Amino acid sequence: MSTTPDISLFSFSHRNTPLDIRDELAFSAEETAQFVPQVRDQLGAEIAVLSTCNRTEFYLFGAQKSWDEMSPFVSSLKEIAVRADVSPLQFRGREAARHLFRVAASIESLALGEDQILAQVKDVHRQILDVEGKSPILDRLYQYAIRVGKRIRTETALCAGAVSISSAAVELAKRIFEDFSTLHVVLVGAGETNESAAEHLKAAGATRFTVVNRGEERGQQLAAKFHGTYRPLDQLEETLKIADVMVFATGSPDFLVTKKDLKKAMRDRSYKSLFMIDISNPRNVDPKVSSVSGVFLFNIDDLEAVIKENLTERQKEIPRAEAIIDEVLTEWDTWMQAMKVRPTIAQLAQFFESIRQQELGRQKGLSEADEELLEQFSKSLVRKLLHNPITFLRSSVEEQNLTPEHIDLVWRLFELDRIQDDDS
Amino acid sequence: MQAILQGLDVLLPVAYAALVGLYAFAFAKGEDTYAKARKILLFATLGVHAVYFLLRGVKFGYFPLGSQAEFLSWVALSIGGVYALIENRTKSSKTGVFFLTLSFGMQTFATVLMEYSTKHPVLLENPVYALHAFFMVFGITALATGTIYALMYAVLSRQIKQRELGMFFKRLPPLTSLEKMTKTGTFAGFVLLGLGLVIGHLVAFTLPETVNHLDPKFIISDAIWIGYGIGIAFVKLRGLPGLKIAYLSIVWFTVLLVSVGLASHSFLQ
Repeated sequence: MSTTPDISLFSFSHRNTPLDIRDELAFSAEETAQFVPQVRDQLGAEIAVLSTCNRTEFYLFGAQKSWDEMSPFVSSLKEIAVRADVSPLQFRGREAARHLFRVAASIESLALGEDQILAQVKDVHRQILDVEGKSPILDRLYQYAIRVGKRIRTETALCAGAVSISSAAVELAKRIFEDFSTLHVVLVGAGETNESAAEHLKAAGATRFTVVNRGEERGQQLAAKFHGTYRPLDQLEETLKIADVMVFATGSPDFLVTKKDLKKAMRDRSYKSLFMIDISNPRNVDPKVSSVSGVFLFNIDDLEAVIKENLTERQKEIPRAEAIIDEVLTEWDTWMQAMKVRPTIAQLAQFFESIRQQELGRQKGLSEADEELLEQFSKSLVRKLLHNPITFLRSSVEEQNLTPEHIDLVWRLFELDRIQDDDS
Repeated sequence: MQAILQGLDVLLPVAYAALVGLYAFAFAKGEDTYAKARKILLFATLGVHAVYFLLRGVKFGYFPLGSQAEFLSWVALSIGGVYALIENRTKSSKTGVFFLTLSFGMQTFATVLMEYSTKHPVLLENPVYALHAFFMVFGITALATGTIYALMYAVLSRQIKQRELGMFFKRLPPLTSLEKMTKTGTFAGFVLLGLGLVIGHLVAFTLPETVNHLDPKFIISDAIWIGYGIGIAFVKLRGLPGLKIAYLSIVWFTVLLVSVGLASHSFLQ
């Protein structure tokens, strides 16, 4: 196993771990705060934990570690980690960095292009920064990941378009209404689906809500949450006259609104446009309503078609997102090479200096003037001997053609490992 | 003076082309890019265009609507002017590329055909008649603009009902905005056309030669204008579904165009 310090990643996600195990492996903020210093001190590595509803990932920087070395730390908080069937995907070096960039870009997300993941990556970066100076490499890695996430969100359409039922409903409503702040939203049913729809409509600017529900208590609760009003179900016909947007999500087995009801309501409301979303199963709104002029009715299948189309559009953006990832990955490589070459140059200089000191120590009985002369001569000689190798290393970093083999060769040629061990 | 007019004749299509470029860029990107620059350039272009007509009137001594080129240039200005009014009122610039492309096309043809002679119909020396011509051009353009918005409404409404969610679905303003734009354009056209017709009747009364006030072209023009008035009042008082308003606008404007064609009414004779 390589002792050269590098990034290691152990990943549990929807790609390799069932949901029940993912749930058990999830780290809370408190658990992360307890876990990170333990691993850092005992394994001598930088560590960051990215834990979301779909993934728990451990990023380390230091000498390469196996999951067997890592799992005891995880199992101290999550017993399941030592089970034989719990095995992470493992990445090292460049591929570990690429994986994090793909995560930040939301290419690795279950819902391609979702927005939350970038905020979660930023949270991890904040945790890294909370412990000043302890994780400089992971600090930089997360900076690059956040940059990837931001660029992909501004330069590509990977995160564009709605991909949930509620957001698809809002996306469609935006094609009918310009200003949501003046719209009257009527939620028929007070379940979670309508609550989610109301949240999305509120986020789009809606402020006026009415909840129509059979059960008063639940209806009042939901209405209060959105500073709206409650009406019992038998007043539904009245609300047809005042609503701009109506969302139906009830368990009613019959149509709550028929074409006849709506034709009458449209006359009473001077034919103002009405947008209706019926996400109930069975449907609450008679599909014939769709033929009434000024009424725009969408059901769950329509919304799913919108989502499917948006996801297809997002898929098309993946190559552009990958190109950005490759670009930033190259910048990351350059930075990492520069970080790796720095100790090599220092070690090389120390090696030549130790030889110079050794040889000077062998010269006995010299006059003070001769000693001075020899000191200057040897320093100049070492400087000149080091000039080409150091220039080669530095310029190779700048030109991005320095390979790990080059560095390895330098260490082996001069046995720099041995000197490092002697020093330590 | 002529050198200035010739310079402006070149500058105006260039300015409209620049506007088309800016609006097309924003339309393609789906974002409100360079909004401030667009607005400044739009009003500056319209201002320069108005100054151009003023200078032309001063130079040649008549209301500059005496040739095909001048007529096309007026249409270009009126389209731009009506569009600017609607953009200002609805705060939506998503349709600018369509209207300003029309302005650009009209002005380009105008520049190519433009002459610098003093030949013109004598009536254009009458300032009241000039006012009539001005309001008629702007009125009909405003009605045409309202009709184009109505057409957009009909297309978008149909796309939404049939779940065809293509590029126009994503780029056009929302239906309620298109409805507002249709109403704004039509109402502005109704007012301007009304002013034009009233002034036109006044001019007819003051002409030395006898004018038949029951000339079918007068009656048809007035009837169409009254039709617009009834439609506007009906929509205001009783309401109509957006799609029906759109169809009504399209049909009534077609009637207007056909009647203008049949009556062979022209300012150039």
